[in-house]
Amino acid sequence: MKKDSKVLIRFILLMALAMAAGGIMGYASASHRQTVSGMLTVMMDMLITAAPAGIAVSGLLTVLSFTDYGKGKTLTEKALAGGEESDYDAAEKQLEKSLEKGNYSLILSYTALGMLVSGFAGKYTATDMPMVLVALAVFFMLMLVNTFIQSALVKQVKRLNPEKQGNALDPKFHQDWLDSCDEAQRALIGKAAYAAYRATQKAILATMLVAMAVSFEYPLGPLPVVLLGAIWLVQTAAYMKTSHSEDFK
Amino acid sequence: MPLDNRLKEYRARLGINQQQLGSMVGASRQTISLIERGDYSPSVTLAIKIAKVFSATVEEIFIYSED
Repeated sequence: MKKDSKVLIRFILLMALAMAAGGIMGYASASHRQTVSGMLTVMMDMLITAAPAGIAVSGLLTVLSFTDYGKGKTLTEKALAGGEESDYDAAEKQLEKSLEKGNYSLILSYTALGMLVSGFAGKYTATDMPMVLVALAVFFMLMLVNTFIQSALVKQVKRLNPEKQGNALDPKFHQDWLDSCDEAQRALIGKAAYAAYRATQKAILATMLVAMAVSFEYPLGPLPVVLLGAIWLVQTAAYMKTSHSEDFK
Repeated sequence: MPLDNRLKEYRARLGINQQQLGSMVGASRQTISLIERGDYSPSVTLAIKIAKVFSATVEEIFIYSED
C-alpha cells in the first residue's frame, strides 16, 4: 500500500514535470519565434546535407560486420573441427556481433536514404545531383552486401546448430526459425522481444512528443505523428492479440 | 531463479558432448549450454528427460536452493 502511494506520487510528479517542460518550451518558442524557427530550418537542412555521411557510416558498419563475420566463420570452423564446447559459444557470440552491426547498418542506411530523399523536395540543386546519385548507388550496394552477410551468417549458425531451419532470403524465415527453436531459445526470444516492445513503446512516445514540439515552429505536417501513431497501434495490437490468444488457447 | 546443476559432471561421466546430449533429449546444444551455465532452468519435461539419460533422479542433477 505504501509502495503504491509512492508510485502514485512519483507518477504525479513526472506528469507535473512533463507539463512544466511543455509550458516552458511553448513559452520559449512563442517569445523567440523567429530564432526557434530559424534554428529548426538550419537543423533540417543539416540533416539533409548529412545524409551521405549517414550512408558512409552505414558503410563502415557493414565493413565491421563483414570483419566480424569472417572471425565468426573461422571460429565456426575451429568448433566444428572437434573444438571445445566453449568454441561453439565463442563462434556464436562472434556471429551475433556481426549480425548486430549489420542490423545497425541497415537501419542507419534506410534513415539516411529517407534524409536524402527528403532533399528532393526543394533543397537539392543540379550541382548536388552527382553526390546524391553516388549516395543512392552506395545505399543499394550496402543493401546487397548486408543481405549477403545476413544470409551467410544464418548458414554458419545452421552449421553450428543443425536443427535450425530457415533461409534468410525466404519471407517466411522468421517463422521457420522460430519453429525450429526449442524451449530455452524460445524463452530467450520472448525475453528479448519483450525488452524490444518496452523500449519501442517509450521511443514512440518520446519521438511523438518531439515531432509535436517541432510542429509548433516548423511545418512538419501531421504525417510524422500519424505514422508514429500507426506504428504504435500495430505494435500494441500485435502484442495484445498474441498475449490474449496465448492466454486463452 | 535458475537451478544449480551437476549436468556437466554427469555428461563427462557418460562421455558425451552437449550436442549429443541435446539430440538424446530433443533439445539444442545451445539449451544444454545455457542449462549447464545456470542461465536457464529447464522445463519439468526436459529435466526428466535429462535425468533419464543418466539413469538418475531429477534431484540428483538439479539442485534447488532458497537463496
